[in-house]
Amino acid sequence: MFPGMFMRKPDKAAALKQLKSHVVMFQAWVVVIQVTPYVLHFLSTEKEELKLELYLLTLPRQSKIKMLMGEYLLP
Amino acid sequence: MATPIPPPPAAAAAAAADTKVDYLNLPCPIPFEELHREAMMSLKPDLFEGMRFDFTKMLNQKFSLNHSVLMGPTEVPSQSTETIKIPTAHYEFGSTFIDHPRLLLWGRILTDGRLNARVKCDLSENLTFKANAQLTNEPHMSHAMINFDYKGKDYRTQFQLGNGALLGASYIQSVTQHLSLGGEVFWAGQHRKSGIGYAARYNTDKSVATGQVASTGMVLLSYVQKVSEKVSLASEFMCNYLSRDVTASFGYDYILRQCRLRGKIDSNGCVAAFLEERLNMGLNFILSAELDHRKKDYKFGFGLTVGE
Repeated sequence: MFPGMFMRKPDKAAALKQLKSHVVMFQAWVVVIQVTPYVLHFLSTEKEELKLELYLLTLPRQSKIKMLMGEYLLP
Repeated sequence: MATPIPPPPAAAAAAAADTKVDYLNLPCPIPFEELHREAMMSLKPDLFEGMRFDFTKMLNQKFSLNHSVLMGPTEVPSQSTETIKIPTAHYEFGSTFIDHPRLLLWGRILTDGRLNARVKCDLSENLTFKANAQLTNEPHMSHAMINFDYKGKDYRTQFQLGNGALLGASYIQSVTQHLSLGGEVFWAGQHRKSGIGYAARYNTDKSVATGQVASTGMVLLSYVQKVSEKVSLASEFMCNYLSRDVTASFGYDYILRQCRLRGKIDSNGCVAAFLEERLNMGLNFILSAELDHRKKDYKFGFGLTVGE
């Protein structure tokens, strides 16, 4: 009739152990969420620096000479 | 003829900088409990059966009274597959106090003695206290729950306490401009059951996609697409992989100048529609229909709402 009524409660020690594992998993997930933006920020910064290096490599030779002489400023 | 001068490299760099995401300055996400609110608005309107009349009177800018009458059949839970209904009538008296945005007091009491109460209070700029209670005359049937919500720069966290030794905590944070991730953990002391859940939400100007899974076996996916300024389409997939229950729902939300029409159809053979039409300022006409072809349970309702 009502299967839920006859379900035995789990043992208290086992239930608390399961609760502890759930709390640990929750805390680990929160840490992962908090770290994710910093990882993405680091990756985007790394990509930006790589882009800057490529930008320098594509400059004509005359521009490089002017840059070394201080007559050309980077944007 | 002279050839056009190519744009300077600075313009390209500036254009690239405009699209760059600032991961250290993300928006604040919506609360964890409202993760699926767009889908809920479209797929779960306030359906009813019978006649409904609501009257709201604003006594001043903060305080209002509400009178509601609902007359119609009420479904009685039974052990057989057939639906059993008895005719009933309810009168509900309510009062609301809103000291925007810091304080909200809301109360409703029915003629059979049931009382619903809600409180929302901003304890500080970032900390909010919420409480809700359902009190009845029947023994051991009253419930109460209190929440503490903390709003951070780009995250929200919440702690819940309820009767029956219910404890819960949730956390949600933005990881990009459009994506937020969250989790929750809960403990039911009376039943010695605990659980953990994970959630994700991706929203743009035109669409919202959400997903949630919990150790209780619950899986909930939803997607809402704004087709135009007036039409939104919603879909939801809900299943419990422990009990093997699966339900898929599809709905629409049509907002016109004078009325709003919402409807849905799901895989259980249930078709529903809900129409709210503004006849005049402060006067709304409501039609409700729900056809459950599997249970052969058909509900039709109409109502009037007077007041803001």
